[in-house]
Amino acid sequence: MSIAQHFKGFAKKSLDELIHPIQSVKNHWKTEMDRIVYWTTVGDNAQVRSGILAYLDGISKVAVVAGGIAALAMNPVMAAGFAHTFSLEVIGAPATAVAWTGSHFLRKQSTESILEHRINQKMLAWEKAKHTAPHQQSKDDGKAIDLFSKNLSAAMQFSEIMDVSRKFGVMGKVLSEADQVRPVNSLLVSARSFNEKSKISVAVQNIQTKAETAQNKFNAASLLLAEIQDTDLRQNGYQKLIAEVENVAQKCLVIPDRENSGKSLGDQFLAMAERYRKESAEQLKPVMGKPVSIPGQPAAAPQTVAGYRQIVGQDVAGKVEKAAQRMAAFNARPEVQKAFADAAMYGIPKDKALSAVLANHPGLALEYVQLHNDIAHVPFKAVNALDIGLVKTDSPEAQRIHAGLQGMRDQGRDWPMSMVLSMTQQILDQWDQRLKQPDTLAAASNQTADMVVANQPEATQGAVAPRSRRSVR
Amino acid sequence: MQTLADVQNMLQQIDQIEVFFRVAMNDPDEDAESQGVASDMILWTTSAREVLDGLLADLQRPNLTPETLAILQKPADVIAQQIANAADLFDKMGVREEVFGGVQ
Repeated sequence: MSIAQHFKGFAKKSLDELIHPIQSVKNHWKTEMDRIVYWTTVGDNAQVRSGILAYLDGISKVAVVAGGIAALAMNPVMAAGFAHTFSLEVIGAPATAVAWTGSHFLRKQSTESILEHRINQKMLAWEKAKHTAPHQQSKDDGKAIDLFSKNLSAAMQFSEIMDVSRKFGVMGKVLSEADQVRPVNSLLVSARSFNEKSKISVAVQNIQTKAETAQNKFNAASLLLAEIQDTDLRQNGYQKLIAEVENVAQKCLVIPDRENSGKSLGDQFLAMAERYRKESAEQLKPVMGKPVSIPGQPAAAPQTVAGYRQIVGQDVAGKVEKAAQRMAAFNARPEVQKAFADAAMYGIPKDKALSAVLANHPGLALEYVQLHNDIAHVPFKAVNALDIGLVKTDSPEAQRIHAGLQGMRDQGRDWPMSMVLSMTQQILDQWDQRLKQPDTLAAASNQTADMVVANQPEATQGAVAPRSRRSVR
Repeated sequence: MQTLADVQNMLQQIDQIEVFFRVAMNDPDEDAESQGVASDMILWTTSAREVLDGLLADLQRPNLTPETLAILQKPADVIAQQIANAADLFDKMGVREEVFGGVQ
């Protein structure tokens, strides 16, 4: 067979054919972006997020194809440079601004989803617990958590609106001036210079209205937190609430408050954050914790929060270790070992040698894909467990997880097109960062959990230790 | 008009094509020109996968208008045709079965 004879010119022609339709996609999203100011003030915030993310996708598509074409004519290094230049210079400064805001949205979404994940996970545990040990308290907590989550999410949208306003709307021009700590009055001067005073006035008014809604939602979330009996959950909730209110406060420190001349919306939010901090300190005074039922465990033998944390930690550590072991077993296969040996002998990259072997062994390739799919989520599961405080960073379970992740990274080092390697490294880096910070959240809730244990009858304490070695599943 | 299933199927085909060319690129039996062409083809599969991945995400977004869908799907239509063209060439080379494993 002759590949050159049949496919010469195919790639360049194909990439040329893709340029126009992808340019259309890019133009489409650019037009959509022009509507963002409208969306920001009166539209649905979800549309804004959707539009920006899609626009970013459009940029990346164009850059990739442009890079591909450049590579055909030049070389990969120049292609990468071309793609970069194309995305920054052809699309221009707006793209950079969009990318900045888009990445912010991604972070915001990530924060939001972590919060939702935390709450959903807790709720799932409560739901399961209700089946094994139904009691009214868990039902009440479940409801309160649900409502807290909804209110906080709604209030957090205001923060996103502020971000979009700063970057894209007429407010963006004013607030960029304000970022230089100019007095509020000078904003109006700046506004005149832009000849957009009326638009700014409308935008400020809209933002103030939305700020009031956000304040109401934050207050509702605070009230609901007070109803949650589980100390661990309540502490998590307050941390999130205060952080979010302060985040919003930073963003609207320069926006005047209609009702309180001389003050800003930011001052209002800062006052709220202070109030929540006091509420939190009052509410989080150590209290007798209630026993937590563990899914799959008999209702007659309730667990403590500490026991629950230990079980989850062991479960996650087991998964990470098992993943590393499966990867090692795969790497120990004779075909794989031969590929690595050949790579060393002929001086070619190991991943390429393994790739070639996989192409010639469909069964092995299938096994590789299956294994990759099975383990790809494991690093995320591990970091989530740490992130939501279910595993303390200084616990034996955390050490097992960390060692398991390192094992996964080492075993996946020579895998072709492996997402596992990059993900695991990224998560290990995050983990290292986390270890440098005091684990105050886990320590505080652990203290509460220890009190629970200390206050339980001996018979119950005795039941905790042996069962805590069992898996959640 | 490409559905989600179509796009996923196309992604699978792109992967199969890329595996073929990756092997060829590193095959010492292939001449330098063929290895170069194989390298070019991998650039194409990489770009096509990026576009299809984007479309896969786009198609799952809420509130897409028919006009938007039509614009978004155009690149996928082009790639579908390109995959068909590549399949014909694989046919001529007598390796279609080897590339797609009979699941195309």
